[in-house]
Amino acid sequence: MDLDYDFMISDLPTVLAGLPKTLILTFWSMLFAIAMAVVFGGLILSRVPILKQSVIIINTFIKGVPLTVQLLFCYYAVPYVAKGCNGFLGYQYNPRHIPYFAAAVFALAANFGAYITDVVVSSMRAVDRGQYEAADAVGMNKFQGITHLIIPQAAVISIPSMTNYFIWLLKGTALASIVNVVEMLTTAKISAADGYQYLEAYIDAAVIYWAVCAGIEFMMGRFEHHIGFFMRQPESRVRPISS
Amino acid sequence: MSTQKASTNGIVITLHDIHKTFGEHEILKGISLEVHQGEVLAILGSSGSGKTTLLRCINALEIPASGTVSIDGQKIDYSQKHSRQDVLHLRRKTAMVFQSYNLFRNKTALQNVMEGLHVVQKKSRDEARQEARKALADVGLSEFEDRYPVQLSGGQQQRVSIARALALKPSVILFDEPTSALDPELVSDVNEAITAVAKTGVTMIIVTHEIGFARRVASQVVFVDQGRILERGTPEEVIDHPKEPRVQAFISKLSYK
Repeated sequence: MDLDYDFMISDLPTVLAGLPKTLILTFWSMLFAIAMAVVFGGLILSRVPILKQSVIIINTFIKGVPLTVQLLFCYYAVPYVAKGCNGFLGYQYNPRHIPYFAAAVFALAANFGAYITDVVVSSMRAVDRGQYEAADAVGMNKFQGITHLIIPQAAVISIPSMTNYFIWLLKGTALASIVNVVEMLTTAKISAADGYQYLEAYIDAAVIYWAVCAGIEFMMGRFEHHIGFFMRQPESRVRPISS
Repeated sequence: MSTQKASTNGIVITLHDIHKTFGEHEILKGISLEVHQGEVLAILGSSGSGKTTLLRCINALEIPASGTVSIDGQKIDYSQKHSRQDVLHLRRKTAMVFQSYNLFRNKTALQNVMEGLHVVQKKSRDEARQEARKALADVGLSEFEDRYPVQLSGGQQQRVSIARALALKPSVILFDEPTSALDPELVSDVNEAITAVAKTGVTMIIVTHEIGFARRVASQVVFVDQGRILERGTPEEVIDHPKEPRVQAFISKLSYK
């Protein structure tokens, strides 16, 4: 088997041009996923009757259905939804421009939102019980304690898991290529079609995915190390100054 | 806010017939107490006697099953309905020093002390900072104000926690075994800080295992056993000349250490 190395190198910029679309898709999906996770997680943690159970049922449903199925479902459902939304908030339905991008964001956000809900819940629960008690003891009400003390600590605790899901999501956007969203993988596929050099183009894509993911993981690791030093065990960082 | 001193004959805290159960288990079986303004009350007792639970019932970290708690004019009768607001108002009359310090991990020493002043008592940041600096100076930690809890030793953390309690100017400060999590060589620093606080005339209730320390700092001592107060009186009475055999056994066992 001979790989066309010249094509592989010359095709790299072409494939790379699809990266912004992948990143944008990842960004919007992650944003909505986190928003959903915070709301759902809040409902679970505050034990709102009925709503809590509903959230748990919705999440098990989302987690129990393959992401591919959800993407395909949204792909086929979006024309109907878009048609129904015609005129709503100034939106004009145009059968030539079905909002497939929004449909992909919706499917990805719902799927990852269900998983990230667990991250939100477990991070909040991972904050030391004593912190809640200390907040009570200085006379804070629940809201004050949660906003000033618990959420800042839970956010730091959640960084490693959030980073994992972000990377997983970034790779998950490749699936959006099956529902008409031109992201990096689709760009690679199109560029390869002329000379049937798919293997070369996909290797390019794989290298770029790997480089971006490794870069994000490294950066988030540094970020967590920097911002989260106060959550670490004392032995691991600073030697206490004896009094 | 207004701490009317000596509101009822100088009695700051009244507990009446406090009961507390965890499941089937009755931890407190009817405890009544009075603490006067400026008094330092030491609560002694063996592990599992209910002394920590008793302390936590005072600031409603544990909600008693029945009985009344009244602190400086703020009263809750737990056999009747009480709102979250009632609990909050009662709690704001108190401050607590925990066994495991429980400093806010995401805040520096100074911010730890400021937090209650600014967020709860609604003082301006500048005013809160000023008062917090003074409280940190009182426990001898001025130069550590910008350190996070992870950057402080256990003894230093506990002293910050004392400063945090002190700065709130509560009607009473509750100490839950403040030195039992510390390395032995750090205990004296913390005990000194507590003694210094006691001398300023703040009312304090201290749950402790350290008989010697209780003997020195307390003006009143109660001995709790199996959810009841077995003996109460001055340190001379309870620690030096206990009447109850149970208390005698406890004291003698500890003083031979």
